[in-house]
Amino acid sequence: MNYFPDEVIEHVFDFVASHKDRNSISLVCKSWHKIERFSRKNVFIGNCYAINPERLIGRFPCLKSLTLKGKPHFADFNLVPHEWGGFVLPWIDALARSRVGLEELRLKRMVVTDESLELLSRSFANFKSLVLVSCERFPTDGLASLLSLLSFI
Amino acid sequence: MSSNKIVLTSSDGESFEVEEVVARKLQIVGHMLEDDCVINEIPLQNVTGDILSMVIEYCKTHVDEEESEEAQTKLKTWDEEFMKKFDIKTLLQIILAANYLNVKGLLDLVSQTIADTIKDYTPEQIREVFGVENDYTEEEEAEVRKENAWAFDEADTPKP
Repeated sequence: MNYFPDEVIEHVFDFVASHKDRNSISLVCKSWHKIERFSRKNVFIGNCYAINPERLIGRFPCLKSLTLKGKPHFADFNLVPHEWGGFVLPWIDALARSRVGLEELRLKRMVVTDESLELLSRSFANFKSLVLVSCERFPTDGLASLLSLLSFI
Repeated sequence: MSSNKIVLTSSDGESFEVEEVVARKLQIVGHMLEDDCVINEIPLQNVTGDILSMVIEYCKTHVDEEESEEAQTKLKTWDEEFMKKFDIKTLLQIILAANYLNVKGLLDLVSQTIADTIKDYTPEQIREVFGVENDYTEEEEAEVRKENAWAFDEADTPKP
């Protein structure tokens, strides 16, 4: 049996891209779980109510890119009430308070308010990319504050 | 560069005479040569002869990294063919050697190949390949498995 130094394991992990494979790696043993959680930069959350923001940040403190999905897909057919939820604000708030170095946020079927965008625009120094798919309430003021920030980059 | 020869000796006593420029691709050797430029025989304690010969083959091929696109494509094809020769057990030996000898390009290449190999492996299969002991209790493992599946799995959502 070989002994693999942590640095070698971590180097291999840098080349493991898919969420599925990273999840498998995290189940191998405790030390791999630890190396994996500190090296996962790209986190996918299929349902914003499956986990809370604090737990996300606790497990993956070095994340840079977050994909977050909100309402179920049948929301596209007006089958989900407007007040169902899927608000992004608590996520941005928690990420900002924990000083996560967020660079990319991809949202699908989430509710995005002015306040969320305003907070997003002033909380992350290296923020580069916001992707919105089928999101609700996208007011122009919030978008303007974000654009004014991005124009500085 | 002069055609000064350096002899590299493996842990099991096998010796390889290589050009200094090739030996310098092993950063561990490069550092030794900087400290004392008269060495011409270097013992490498953590690598066996069969693995060292593969590392040297890589270094010889990569000795002059040309910038041109054609040369880069040729090297890339060579790298792919080179990696195809080895099973996973050998790859794991090579990655340990590349780390110890500090050959950055080879370390990246083997890391990528290992990552590709274990793609879609179950945790059990990965443990077997790496010879890693599972030190989770049943409850702990179930908890991680549950959180992964519940929150961080994108099985049913193809990437855009």
